[in-house]
Amino acid sequence: MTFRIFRNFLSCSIAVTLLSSGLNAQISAKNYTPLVSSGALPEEFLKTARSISEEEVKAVEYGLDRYARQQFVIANNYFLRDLLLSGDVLINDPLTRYVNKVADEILKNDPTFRQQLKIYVTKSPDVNAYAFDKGFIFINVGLLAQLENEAQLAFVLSHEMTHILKKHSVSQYIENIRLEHSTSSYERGSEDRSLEKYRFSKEQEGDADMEGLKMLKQTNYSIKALNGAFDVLQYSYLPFELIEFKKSFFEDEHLRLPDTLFLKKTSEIKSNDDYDDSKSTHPNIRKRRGSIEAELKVADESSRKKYLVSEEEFKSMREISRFETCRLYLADRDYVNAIYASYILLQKYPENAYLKKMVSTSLYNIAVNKASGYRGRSISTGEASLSSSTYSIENYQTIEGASQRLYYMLDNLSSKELNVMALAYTYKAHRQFPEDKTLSALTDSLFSELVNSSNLYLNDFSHRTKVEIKSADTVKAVVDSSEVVEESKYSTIKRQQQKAEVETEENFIKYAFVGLLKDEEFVKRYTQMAKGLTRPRVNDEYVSTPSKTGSKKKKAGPPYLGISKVVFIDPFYMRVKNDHGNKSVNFYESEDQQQVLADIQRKCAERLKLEYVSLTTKGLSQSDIERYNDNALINEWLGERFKHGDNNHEMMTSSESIRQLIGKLGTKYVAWSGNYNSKGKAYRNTYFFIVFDLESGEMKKFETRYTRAKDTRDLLSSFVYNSLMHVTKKPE
Amino acid sequence: MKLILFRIPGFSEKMKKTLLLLVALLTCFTVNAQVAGYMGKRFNIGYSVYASPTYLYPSFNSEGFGPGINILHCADAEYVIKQRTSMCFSVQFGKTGVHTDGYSTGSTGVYYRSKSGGPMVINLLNFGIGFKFFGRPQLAPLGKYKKLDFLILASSVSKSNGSFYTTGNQQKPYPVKEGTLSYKSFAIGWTFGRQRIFSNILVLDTGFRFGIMPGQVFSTLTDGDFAGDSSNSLGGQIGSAVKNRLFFAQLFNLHIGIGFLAF
Repeated sequence: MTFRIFRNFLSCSIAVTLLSSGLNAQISAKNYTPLVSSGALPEEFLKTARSISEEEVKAVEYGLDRYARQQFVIANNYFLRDLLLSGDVLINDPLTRYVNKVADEILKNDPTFRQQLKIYVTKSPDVNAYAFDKGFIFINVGLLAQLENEAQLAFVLSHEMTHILKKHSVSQYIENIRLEHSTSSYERGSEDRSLEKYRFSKEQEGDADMEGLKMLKQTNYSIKALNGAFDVLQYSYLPFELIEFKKSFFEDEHLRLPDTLFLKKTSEIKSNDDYDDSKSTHPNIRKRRGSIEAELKVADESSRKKYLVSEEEFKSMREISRFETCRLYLADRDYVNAIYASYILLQKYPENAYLKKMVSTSLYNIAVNKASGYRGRSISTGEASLSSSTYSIENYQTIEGASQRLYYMLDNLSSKELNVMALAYTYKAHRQFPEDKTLSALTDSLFSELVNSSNLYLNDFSHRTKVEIKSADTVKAVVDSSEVVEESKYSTIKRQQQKAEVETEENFIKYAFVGLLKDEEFVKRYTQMAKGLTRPRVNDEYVSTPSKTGSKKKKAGPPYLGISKVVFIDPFYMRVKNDHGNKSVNFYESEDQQQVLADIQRKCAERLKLEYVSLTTKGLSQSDIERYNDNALINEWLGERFKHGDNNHEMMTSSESIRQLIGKLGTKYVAWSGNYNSKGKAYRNTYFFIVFDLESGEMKKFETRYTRAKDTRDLLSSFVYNSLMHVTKKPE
Repeated sequence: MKLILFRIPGFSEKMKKTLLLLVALLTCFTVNAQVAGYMGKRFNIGYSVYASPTYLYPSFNSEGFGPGINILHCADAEYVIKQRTSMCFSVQFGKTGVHTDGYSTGSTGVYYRSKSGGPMVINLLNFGIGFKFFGRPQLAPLGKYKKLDFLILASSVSKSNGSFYTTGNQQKPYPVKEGTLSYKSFAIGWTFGRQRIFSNILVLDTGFRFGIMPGQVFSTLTDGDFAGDSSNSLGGQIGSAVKNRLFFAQLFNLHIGIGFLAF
């Protein structure tokens, strides 16, 4: 009996230790390891959308809307396939494992339904979750970072499970088609139609809330805690915590930021839960709360719990989500939020290299944008044209809460001031973690910016503190045996000017490096950069090479690149039928043509003796997790790079991992191409081909061709051959 | 180098050398051009057929007026010299017909009657050089193009004793010296066409061509004399008839051809 108790105790302890070590393997006081997928690839990642669609289309019941349902099935499968293979979906990671445990708890009494569900966590900072009728639920990292307790997560899951049970997606799709084809004069107007679509969607959301709550009542989760779930949704636009931002974060003994850079008071958080939801797919928060309010009162609330799986696991999972959110903000070009999120976590982990890197990278990227003069334009991301992607700090007046101070400060710092502040912060972090290559590269990049963009050199900075200057009231008289030097008019003027300077806060950057100028390495690196050396001593290729004149003019590059090896990722392909403004994608043909394009690329590469490395997600097997991760990394890099637009000076979030991948693949060049063909009254075809340098972020080639022609094989072959010829041929 | 290809009656040695020199210069000019071609292939040889409708004048095997089609067979060679430009060489051969009556020598009316009963046959051998311009963003030799070509039309009519007769009540044979009448003219053509490529090797070329003979237009505008109608000699009149016929044959043509991407 004693032995049995001891054995059970030992098993539990081991289990807890293993579990917590698994969850906390990501975070340590000094660092954080970003989440990657691991283990075997699940079956849904291996099957092609076509094979699944062909089976499911046959199984669609006969009826008036059979065709529409079949089209929905096909579209659904292809969209799901693209999402699963995008690399955003995490596999066998701590977050996904935990979320699945909570789902297990909810559906303890319905194992059949539980088996149908596939629940994954996706790498996105948005506070959202969504479901597919096929049984897939995706929860964003951003949502996990904001939750207060496990019961709230359970409610989110049960809400999504209801969507699946009630087949809301296909119903919405059928309803939308019905409205599009409706002959009723009321419903035919496009405005009325849209409103009707929103109304239908809101009905479904209300239904999911109610039924989700009923599902949860069958478990032992606290129902009272669910009110907080709506708070999470209502305030999802705010950071995961709100703490006062102190200017001392960037200050040190010598670098003192003026008070004018800080708002004395930040704006209050508005509690507007009754907003106009007529053009929203979800009811507003007040309505959602109101509709289930009565159901929130349960008799057995006292016996219910906020945590059924594990409170410790939940908190650990949330912490990991928050760390992950920092880099997701960075990848999303939301630099201010990345700094603020890192700032929050640094209060708990003050010596964490990863968090300091997040802050340094964000500061650097804001600084290069300011130096490039992108200030004042509205943020536009996700635009098709690379050159249209601009960055600017969001207007602080639109920000609520404590983070407003940070927005205000960063927006009001001039380019030079920000550069100096960023360098001071980054250099100190670099000294703390000298082996970290990213921090070292950032340091050099900031030195380069200081010299080339801000035109600041060593002698622009004071070696003495303000106090030292102030205390030197008179010029010391130099006395030797024969001569006495008296104070002259000019020395008086100089002294008065110095005094005026130290008393003003405006020129605070002059004294920023008083301490750092005593550091030999700091001075050495600064001097080297100022001498016009274009390659820093640290062997790091992702530092942008500054031009000696500091000019940021684009040079017209040669038409030929002379590249011998390129990584090709899956090309994009879409064939669309445009029937009087109604566009429908032909998924099967698009998939076939995608394969045709990939084959053409391979053949042309062979012909041109270009080494072709394919990083495809086609034909994955269970053991191909490495290829999956490599593809995910490239996709993440490309997504971030496209957001940067023409500006390839910004540091990429995944620089270190990309460096390792370059070593593994044997080339730093990645090519992405695609074709879009639409058939309406006439054919319209758009082909594109892009080559990036993964090390520097430089776009080596960007080619688009628009023709009014069908996407025949010979047309694609001629375009692809021409593109690859320009890649492989040596410049003259 | 003796070229059998150029053994054509009336085609002078000087003209042959000039043409050779032109080709050589153009080849040298294009050697260093940065050209892609189709999958690296720039040279295409093929065969095409040019069809022009005829009504006012008969085709080579019909008699009298009436609708018909004249066919020209053409051997083409095309070479991509720039991303969107090809240079073309062509040799066209074919037959057509010209009207048999309306000739006169002084006061005597003459008409032609062939042994087979058809029109007077013109043997055509044309040499052309042209440039195909492919529209952006297409790349030669694929896609829609516009072609400017220059043709030297070398036509000949065979005379034989007993083919010509006088008009009037007594239709007596009109004696003519045996031999061949040769005529040279010049035409400029503008083609709208399209090329497709199959299996990376076969080229399908289709299009329609508009052509004009500047000499005819010029003489009409200046002298009011279309193709030398006012000539007194039978040869001259036949020549003017031939040029008239060729003028209308050049006006509009449909063509279809097939080629082979050699290298």
